[in-house]
Amino acid sequence: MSVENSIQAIENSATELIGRTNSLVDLEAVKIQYLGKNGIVTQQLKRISSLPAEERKGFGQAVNHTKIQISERIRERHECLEKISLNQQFSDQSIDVTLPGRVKTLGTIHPISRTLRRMEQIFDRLGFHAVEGPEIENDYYNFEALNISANHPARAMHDTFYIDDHVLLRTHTSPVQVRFMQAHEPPIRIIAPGKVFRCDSDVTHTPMFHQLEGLSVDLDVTFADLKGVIIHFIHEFFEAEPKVRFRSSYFPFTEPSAEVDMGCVFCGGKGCRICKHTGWIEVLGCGMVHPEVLKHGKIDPSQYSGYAFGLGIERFTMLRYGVSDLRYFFNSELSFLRQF
Amino acid sequence: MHASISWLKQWVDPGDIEKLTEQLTLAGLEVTRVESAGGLSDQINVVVGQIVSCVQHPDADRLQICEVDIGQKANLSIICGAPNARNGLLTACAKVGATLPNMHVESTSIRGIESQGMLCSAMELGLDTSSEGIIEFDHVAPVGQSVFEYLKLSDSIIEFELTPNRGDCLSILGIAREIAGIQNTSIQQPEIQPVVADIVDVLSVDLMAVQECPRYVGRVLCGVDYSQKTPDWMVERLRRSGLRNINLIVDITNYVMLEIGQPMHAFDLKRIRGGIQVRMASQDEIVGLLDGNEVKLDPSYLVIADDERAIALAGIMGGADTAITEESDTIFLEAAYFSADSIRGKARKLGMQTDASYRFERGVDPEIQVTAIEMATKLIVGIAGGSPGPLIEAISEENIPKNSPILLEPDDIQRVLGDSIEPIRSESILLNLGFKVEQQKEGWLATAPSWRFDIQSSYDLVEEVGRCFGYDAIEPRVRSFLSNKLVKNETRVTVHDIKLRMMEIGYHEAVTYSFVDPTIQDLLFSTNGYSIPLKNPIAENMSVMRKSLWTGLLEAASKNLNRQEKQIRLFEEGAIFEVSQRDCESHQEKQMLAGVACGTIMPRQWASKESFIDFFDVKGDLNNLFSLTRAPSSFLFEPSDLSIFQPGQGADILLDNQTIGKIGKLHPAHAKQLDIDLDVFMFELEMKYLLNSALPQFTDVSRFPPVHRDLALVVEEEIPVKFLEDEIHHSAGNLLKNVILFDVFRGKNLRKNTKSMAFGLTFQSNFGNLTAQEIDKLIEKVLQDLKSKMFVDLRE
Repeated sequence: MSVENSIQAIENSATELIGRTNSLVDLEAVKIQYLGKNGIVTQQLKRISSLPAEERKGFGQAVNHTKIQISERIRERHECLEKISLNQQFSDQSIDVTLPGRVKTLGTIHPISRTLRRMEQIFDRLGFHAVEGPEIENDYYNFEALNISANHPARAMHDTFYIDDHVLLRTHTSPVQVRFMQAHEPPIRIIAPGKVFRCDSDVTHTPMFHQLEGLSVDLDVTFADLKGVIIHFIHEFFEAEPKVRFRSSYFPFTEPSAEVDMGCVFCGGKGCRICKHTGWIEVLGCGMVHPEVLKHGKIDPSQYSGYAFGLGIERFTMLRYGVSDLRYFFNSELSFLRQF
Repeated sequence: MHASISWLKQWVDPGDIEKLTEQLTLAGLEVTRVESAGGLSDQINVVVGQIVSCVQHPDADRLQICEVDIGQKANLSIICGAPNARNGLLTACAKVGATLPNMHVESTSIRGIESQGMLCSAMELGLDTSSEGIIEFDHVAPVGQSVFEYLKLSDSIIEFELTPNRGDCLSILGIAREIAGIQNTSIQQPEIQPVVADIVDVLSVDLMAVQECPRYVGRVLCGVDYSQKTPDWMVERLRRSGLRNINLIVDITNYVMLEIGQPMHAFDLKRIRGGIQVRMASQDEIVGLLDGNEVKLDPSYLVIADDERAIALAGIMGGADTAITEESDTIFLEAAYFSADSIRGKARKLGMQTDASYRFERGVDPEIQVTAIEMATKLIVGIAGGSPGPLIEAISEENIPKNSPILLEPDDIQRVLGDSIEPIRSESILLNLGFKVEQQKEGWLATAPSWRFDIQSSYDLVEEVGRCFGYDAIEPRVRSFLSNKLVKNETRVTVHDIKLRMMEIGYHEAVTYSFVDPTIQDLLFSTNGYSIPLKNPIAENMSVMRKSLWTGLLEAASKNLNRQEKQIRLFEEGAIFEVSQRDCESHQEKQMLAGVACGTIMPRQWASKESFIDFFDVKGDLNNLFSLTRAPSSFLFEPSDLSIFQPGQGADILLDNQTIGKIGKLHPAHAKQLDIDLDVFMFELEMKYLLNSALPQFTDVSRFPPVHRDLALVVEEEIPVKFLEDEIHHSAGNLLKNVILFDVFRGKNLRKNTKSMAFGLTFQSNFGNLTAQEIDKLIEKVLQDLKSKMFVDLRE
């Protein structure tokens, strides 16, 4: 067997061994067996010095070639084995991606807050600022300043909770009107949301509920402006353009006064359970601020005029989200709250 | 208020009903319902029949076989069980094939005898909700005429909901006037001829409270045949207005009230001792009323009295003593004007409301009393005979309310409504509503009619014109206003921002009542001042104002646990009410944010172990909340001994040396009483302290690597970690960037009453690399300082 042949045989046997390795450890053993300090190829290289001078070059080249070839095979196999090992690892670590994710609980915002937020945003764009007033009021701001005298039949309409003879839980958000006017000069554009109280409790009444009051006082404020703002608000809030009608009514603190109905958004005005088959849904009360009320607010009615409106936040919330019973809002059941 | 269209037609042409109801509704007389006049819709097969003979049914004690004439050749033989079926009676006869509101009449055989129809009661005809016996018609009822036609049932009833300012519309006349105003027409005022007196009997009337009662009109009627039946047409009109017939005289006074709005009363003249006095009640004066009740009065009540005692509660109800009975034959009729102020609130104070008080409270026309007496007299004499005496009228002219002329300038309408209305239309609206209108240089001088009490200024006139013209016709104007100021400063934290954060950290917003159960409130806050009670609570468990949001939230938590909720985190934002003494004037209203948490930390799931909430979960939640406002480290927690908390698990929360709230574990005894068997953690913060944040301030970012060192310290049990952290910072100086407590250990290797706390310290400089020696020196200093101040050792 020629020298070349025997070296070729080494290369062949190494290649075969390399191809049979299944792990990096085995491969390392083969590497040592051939290329290590006492490895087969290394042994051959050591032989060079014992060879005749004329053979040295050819033999050296052949052995080096083999060494390079074997190194290359080892490198390839190494890469291959690494890949296999990685694939194995991946396969071991594969997961069922349909398993549920690890969740923390998110809370919710009460539907009344949600509605109120929306209303505030709509009015904010119309230049109305939100302000607040106290929930425990005195009868001056709740009644007298609003042109409701002690024996006024309208007092009977407000089933008032009293704390003592002159201190009460506000029955509407309207007291904020006079409080604000007394403290500010026109132009005034405010909304005043908050809790109000009436001693009444049945399927359609809770003893506490929420109202939003609106007030605008300026030069040249007319019923036409009131109509403009209310119609705009209803259209924005419901993201629809139902018909809106202004029906003459009576509130002691506005003159003229009107109740506002909108075409039923559920049946399109054809008549359904929600609108009691009238095609109309009553949504708010409004009017031009009564001159006596302006006077209580230290504003001269011969110079300024204004409009005011008041709406029930629960009512809008029920209409918007289809809530069927007012009492859900205050019973704090998680099964209700989680829906918002 | 109910109004029959056929009755209205006597005064004005109402036109198309559907259009009319819409017009009235828009003009402020809200129509809530329109219904047909009676339940009977069969126009042919139910007729007026007369019983011509009655024979006992051979096999039934309570049944009679009636022979009924229905105006045809053959009489019908009908079996009837009504006790009032008798010979000669005119009644409603439903022939075979007739349709009644609740049944179909067929030929039947009752105990072997055929019945050729049915005699009907008012209830069976759909005219009443209950009835005794078959209906009895007037003797003038034409035999054979259909009942539908006889009772004029082809009529509609409009039901109104009236606002309290429109007392003038509480009558057919009032509604008719409104229709005229809206439809630009006028009413047909029937002419009332004064009744001529047959007798001279009068009664003296003494007005002793002229402001409360400036006009009192009356009349004596003798020889009235009280037993006469109220005619069918009147019974029908009363029924269509929602009243049942009682007796002829009461029915007539009611009828006049319904038609023209004047409440009336009839006394038995023989029971009146002396003359009539209209006066204020004396203190503790007692009147026995028609409804059988006795009321004790005070001088704020107006009474009708005779020489000896009060005989009626003016404007509210007549007295029992002088009421008309079956023996009465001489009556005294009353129609008075009582001022609204004198009647308002009085009936309600006595827990009553009557048709009369309802009208007087809202204002009755002070000029209509004579008309009322004349109308009633005419009806009584016409139906029941009798001799009328002369009209008696006591009057205090200067106390009769008079409307003054009001100037309405043409500009006023434009100025309020923002739209112009043709002057001629405005004028005719006022005229048709009964106003006197005089053209002047500056505008119109308009005087409201006597029945209107709600017209005081030009604004009221504008409203009259506007509502009849229709607000729908006013063109809306939309103006947008740029806010003068940016709505929100960047550093302003809104309540909504806070709610959003609470939502993000897992809390559900609840809204609970501002009034709570005093038992629960006292239980939770026994030592903490007074509560504000309501004078008229709706229920005992809603009778005091809350002084913490916890009361409502804990109840909510308990309720949800009972509904098998496992993970409860609720928050609420709202006012609480504090009072230092029993003096509600000095109360304080504070806006708070509160939360309660109990149950599991995470929702039940495969990927995390179930564990239960503790103090530090909730404190961590607050950390996340506080970061909206300030660095959470600015908020300090100091032990609190508030009795609502389990001892040792409560804290006050401080910001800038001010207590802004509290956090802790609900005392297990309280939890038990609230039916909660889990640990409950809760916090409450005053909202105002959370609403201001600061703009972020940039500090230079170091380019040099941080160095980390861990320190495990053994410290006395009672030393709070906060002190250690502060001391470490203080001692290490500003190269120390961060301290994290990463382990707390107690165990047998440690001395008694000590704990091991492991801190991770991070050092970093902005100016260069820190060397190991520099760090060692700092650590050494920290240990020295801690040791000297707080009995701290490095853990071996």
